[in-house]
Amino acid sequence: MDRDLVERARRGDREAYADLIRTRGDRLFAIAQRILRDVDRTEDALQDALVIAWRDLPGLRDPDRFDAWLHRLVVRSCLHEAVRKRRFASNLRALPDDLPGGPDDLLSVADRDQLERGFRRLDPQQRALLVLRHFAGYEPSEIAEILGIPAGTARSRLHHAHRAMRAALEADARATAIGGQLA
Amino acid sequence: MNRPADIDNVLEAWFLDGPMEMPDRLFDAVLDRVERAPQRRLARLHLRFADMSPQLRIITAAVAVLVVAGIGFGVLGRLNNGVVGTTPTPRSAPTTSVTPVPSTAATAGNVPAGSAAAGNVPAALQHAWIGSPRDVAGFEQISQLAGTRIVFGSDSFAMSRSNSWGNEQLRSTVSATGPDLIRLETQSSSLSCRVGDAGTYQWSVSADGTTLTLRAIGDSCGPRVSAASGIWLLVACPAENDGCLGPLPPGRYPSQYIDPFVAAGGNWNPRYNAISYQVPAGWSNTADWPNQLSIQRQGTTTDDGIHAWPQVAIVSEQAPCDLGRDPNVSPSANAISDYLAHAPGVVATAPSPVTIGGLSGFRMDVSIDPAWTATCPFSNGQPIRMIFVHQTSGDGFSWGLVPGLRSRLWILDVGNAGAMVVEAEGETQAKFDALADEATSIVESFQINR
Repeated sequence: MDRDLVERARRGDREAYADLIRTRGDRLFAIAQRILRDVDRTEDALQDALVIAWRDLPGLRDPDRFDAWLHRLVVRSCLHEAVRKRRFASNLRALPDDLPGGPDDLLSVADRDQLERGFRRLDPQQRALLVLRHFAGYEPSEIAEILGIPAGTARSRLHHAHRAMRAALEADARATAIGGQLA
Repeated sequence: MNRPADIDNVLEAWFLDGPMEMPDRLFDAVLDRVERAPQRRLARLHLRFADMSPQLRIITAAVAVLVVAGIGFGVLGRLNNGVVGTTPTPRSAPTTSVTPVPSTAATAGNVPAGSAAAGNVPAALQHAWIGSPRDVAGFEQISQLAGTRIVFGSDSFAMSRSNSWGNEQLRSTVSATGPDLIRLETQSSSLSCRVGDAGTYQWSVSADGTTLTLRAIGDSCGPRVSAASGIWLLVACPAENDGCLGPLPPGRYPSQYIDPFVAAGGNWNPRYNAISYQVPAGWSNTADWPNQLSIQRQGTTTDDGIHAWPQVAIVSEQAPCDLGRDPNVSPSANAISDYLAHAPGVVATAPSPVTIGGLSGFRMDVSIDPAWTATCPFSNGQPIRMIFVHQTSGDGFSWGLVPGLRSRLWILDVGNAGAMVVEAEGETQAKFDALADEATSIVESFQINR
């Protein structure tokens, strides 16, 4: 923990804040991108969250909770961004990132497409829960702190998010099968 | 994919795809904004001032007035030395096509002069404010249909278009020069204003703190006169990234972002005052998005209240949980209300013709049939009858009936854009009954502007 940097940033030291962001930016960006599935929207959400964090940093009472607090702001900003855009700009579809497949070749291109479609069916909070658990690697108790909810609620919501993801994948598989028959 | 049981491993593998690094441009953009963004310190000092005992407050106010007066003399001295030697006439009068009618008229001095810390922006001003489109030379975007947003920090001022908060113009430093006077000095060149251009403005905030009036006394930065002068509404939205107004004193208010007349898939731009509405005491504007406007009683933590959704379609009965639209029900007020009047799983009153804000359509009350048992994966085991989605499928908007929920719908034709639904709902019959009359009056007050 960069307690000293947090303290300095709380007192208005912009260089200290820049150092804090520099060391956390990649991880926060990766988390936000996986929730929103769109680079432009990720940049908007993350930029807003990091400016809000700077502005509200003097109100952070415990510097040791800086990371959880910052993650909370980023996730919250992603949820707002998702709601803001989903109601209108949903016809925009992010193309798959122009990147090679992940290190795990378990997933075919078709699998990835199916996951993408299934994941997009989830509501933004369910997406955030799954990303925090399966990408960021947080335990349910840590997710609870980040989201500002009781640990039991986090576990329950995580369970529902898993169920929703399974249901979305199954629904997608059915739709694909039906489409195949019709074709 | 045939491995839903392996969902944990599959997700972990899938999440490894995708970018892992924050782009440098994003880092630079954040630092640029941080450079200009003050931290929230002085606001808390002002709050502490408000909590002081009356005696201590008087003493502190007296000290503050003396300090402000001292700085004011200094500033006036500079004004007399010609920094603001000329006062150009604004290019046009400020646009005030929508004038809010708060319960208490804004008058100079309603906010005590002592609330201004020495030299700093008075606490009452240190917020985001939104107003009508301004005709500002050099920034034509603002002269179109979007509202104008200004933000006062503890010592700063900036303006932007209502949907482009990051594109700030006319950044200025601000200092209090009198009980109801502030001085703005251009910090960076923009819109033909030069660094150092300075102006003095008289301000007043209504007693409830929600309406700001700015009047230019003199300013060598002409665009700033056009941009800043006039009436502003406090942006106090509970959601940080939303531009909604938050708690509202009684009066008529404009929407900021919603546009009922954009066809599905069409290009949206914020259209200030596309909808205006009249509220009695105790209501709040809790959401204002391109495709949703919400007005709820203050303090409401559920969805109870009024919501307007443009471009609405009926959910397909064949796979309601997939939230696809039913292609057999056209997105018109007549077709949607006729469908709901006879839809399985829906208890509905007969549609009655209405005209809201010049749009014709039908009003009806709906609830879920108590015998309905179908659930969806996202309804947590609770019966749900999905009703509405957006015309553009898959955009995330959906609305359905669940046990207990009571809803009054106004289904309105909006021409090529299909149908807009305005809804007043309560999560129980009792809660619906408690808000139905007021909510109906608010909806009937809608003015919908093309």
